Amino acid sequence: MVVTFLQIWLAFVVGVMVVYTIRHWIFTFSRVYSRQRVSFADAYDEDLPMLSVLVPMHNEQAVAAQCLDAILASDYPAEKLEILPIDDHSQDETAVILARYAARNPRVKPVRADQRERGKSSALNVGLAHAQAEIVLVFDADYTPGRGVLRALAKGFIDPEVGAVMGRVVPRNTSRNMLTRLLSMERSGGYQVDQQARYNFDLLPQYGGTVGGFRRRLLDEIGGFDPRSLAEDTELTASIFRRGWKVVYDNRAECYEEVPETWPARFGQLRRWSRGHNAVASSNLLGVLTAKGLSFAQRLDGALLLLCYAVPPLLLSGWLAALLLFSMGHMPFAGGIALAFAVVLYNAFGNFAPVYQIATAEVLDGSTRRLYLLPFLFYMFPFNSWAITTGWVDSIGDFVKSRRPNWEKTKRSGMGVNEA
Amino acid sequence: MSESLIYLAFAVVVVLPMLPGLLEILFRKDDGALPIDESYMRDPRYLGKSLREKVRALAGKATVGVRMQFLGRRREYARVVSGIELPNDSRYEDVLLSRGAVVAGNGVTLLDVYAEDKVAIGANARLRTLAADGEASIGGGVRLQRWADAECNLTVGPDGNLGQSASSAQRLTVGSNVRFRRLFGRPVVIGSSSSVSALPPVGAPERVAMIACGGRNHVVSAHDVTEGETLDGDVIASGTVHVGAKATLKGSIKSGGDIAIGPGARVLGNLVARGSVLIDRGAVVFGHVFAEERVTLQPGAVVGTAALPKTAYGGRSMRLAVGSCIFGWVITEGDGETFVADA
Repeated sequence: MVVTFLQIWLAFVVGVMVVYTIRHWIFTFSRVYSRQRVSFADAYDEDLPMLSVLVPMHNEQAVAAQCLDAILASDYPAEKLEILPIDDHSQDETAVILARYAARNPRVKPVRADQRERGKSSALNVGLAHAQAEIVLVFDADYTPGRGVLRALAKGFIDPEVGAVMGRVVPRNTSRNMLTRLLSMERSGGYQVDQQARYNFDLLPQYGGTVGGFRRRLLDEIGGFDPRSLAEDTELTASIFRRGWKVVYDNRAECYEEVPETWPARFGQLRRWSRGHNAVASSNLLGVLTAKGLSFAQRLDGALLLLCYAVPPLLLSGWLAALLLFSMGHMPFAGGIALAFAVVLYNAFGNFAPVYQIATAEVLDGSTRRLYLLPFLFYMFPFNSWAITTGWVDSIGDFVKSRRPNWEKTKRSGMGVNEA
Repeated sequence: MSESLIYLAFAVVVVLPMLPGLLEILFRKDDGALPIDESYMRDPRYLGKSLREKVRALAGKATVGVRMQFLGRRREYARVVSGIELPNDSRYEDVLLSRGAVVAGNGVTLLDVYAEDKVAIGANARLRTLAADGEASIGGGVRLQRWADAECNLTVGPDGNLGQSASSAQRLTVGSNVRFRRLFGRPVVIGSSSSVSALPPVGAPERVAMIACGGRNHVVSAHDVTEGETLDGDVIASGTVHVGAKATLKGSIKSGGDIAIGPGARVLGNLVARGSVLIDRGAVVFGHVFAEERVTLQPGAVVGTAALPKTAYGGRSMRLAVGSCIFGWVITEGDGETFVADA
């Protein structure tokens, strides 16, 4: 009985991994060999809409000035731009910095979110209450958008079906250490290949909550962001597709960010993402699978997107099942040779698939020498799996105990701004 | 012994893939952030403006008659002239930097030409690039290898190839049977100016909301706006959308298939199609036109307005009939051509 259960479970895990593997491969080949979909950033337009730019900030004295400087240097028409930095319970000099910018520039309108609970979702809700424009862009405080990024993002809304737009995130502090170099590669794979391919196939590119924006009426429709959510971006993505809107991804709206520079910071970030993402998945999976107007491929991609942070715990359970079967003298499947064959196949096409995706992204970006670091990504895999699994356990705990998660901010150094 | 060899082989297999990476970690040849040009702003006339800047830096104060290496290119020299007239079928081996007008006869072959005054090039010319601060005209049958840009009107005769881009700060007039990739002008006129019936469109709105109405009131599988009808709001359809003759749509259209705008119809918003877009005779689209396949403009069709220039983008191809007009930018990743429509 136990053996049968373990065998079925192991077969299920392998099946799920095969599905994700095929997805990775299709995305990678699409990015290399298919025609890429239209970028609205190509449009020439002097008739741009009014924009509200929200920048949630919690203890961001290290990066607040560089972010505001970058936005103020944008080529977006000054009379159509308002910048709303949201001071979210900061205890450092953030408020002083914002006040200084507001005094110098009337376009900067700081908002205090001290009356509400802390966290990005709450801060965004406070910012939205003050925003005047129909199109709202959001940047994290460690982001420094280039001069043309606001204009490029705003043009995504040329398409009346588009509810949100997402640009590309590029780490600024890549050279800091081994971790930042590997994270830079992961980001390349995630945006240059994964997001662009999903957009090419008219699937579900994700609104990432940082270099992006949305229609305000969409947020009015869903009643704003859920203050309890740690993954307001995933939540909005799911809401967008459930309501028949689309997300447009613009690979050329590139923006520098600061990636975590220490392993504990990265662990905390992944854990928070996993915790929030899995909570969103549990409340939106059925809705995406049954949403009207979505094709089968879109529903499948939506499900795979929502479940992606459940894969590492699933994989760990598969490994555990395989170990148990081995120790109980029951080789999985049809015996040793078949097992060896499965392991080889899985390593060649399963584990390696995301790595091929990253390699493809680096080639497309013209960064061929950093491809040599690819084998080191295998050593990131267990680390990532452990952090994500911890977050998954947290999300289960939140659900069972009706617990409200706290927003754990990723620590920033602000030191990488001159490195790019 | 054999056991040790196995361990050794295992260690080699584990370590070997890491060696190039270890060398990269040690010598750090590719550890910088991916380069982003943060000062980049999209400009349809970027090529022309960029060359002017470089030439001014290179030869801004150079005296007439000077010959110099051109922008660091090996075996290419630029000559500064006060103005020049080139006879038919002549060949000029140097890059031309002219303080005055450039007049070239038929069949000339040129490299890059930059003139601070007007330029007139005869038929069947071959040239690499052209930048003119004054008016510019290029005769029929031109073969432009890269691009042309003019601060004033630019006129191109029939039966040519405009390379990667042709742009003008003012009017760009392009003859029939011309191949192109990108055109920019305010406006881009196909054929002669007199063949365009609606310049600028009568009754243009003060502002075309780029984000349109954002309305969701017409989500359908396919849609027909019937002849003469006026419809408020966006149309979002998984299939083909047809706007009938003389109908008016006060909104944008998104189609999972094709979009056809009937004769004399008006669309106040944008057209976005996964398939093709056809804008029939005399129809006016005040917003952008984006099609992943083909965009076709029939005679008298107009995109954008003089006050609000827009973009027409055809992923696979762009066909512009003599008599059509676009205020703004025309782009195709595939084949662009102008043509004479059947009467």
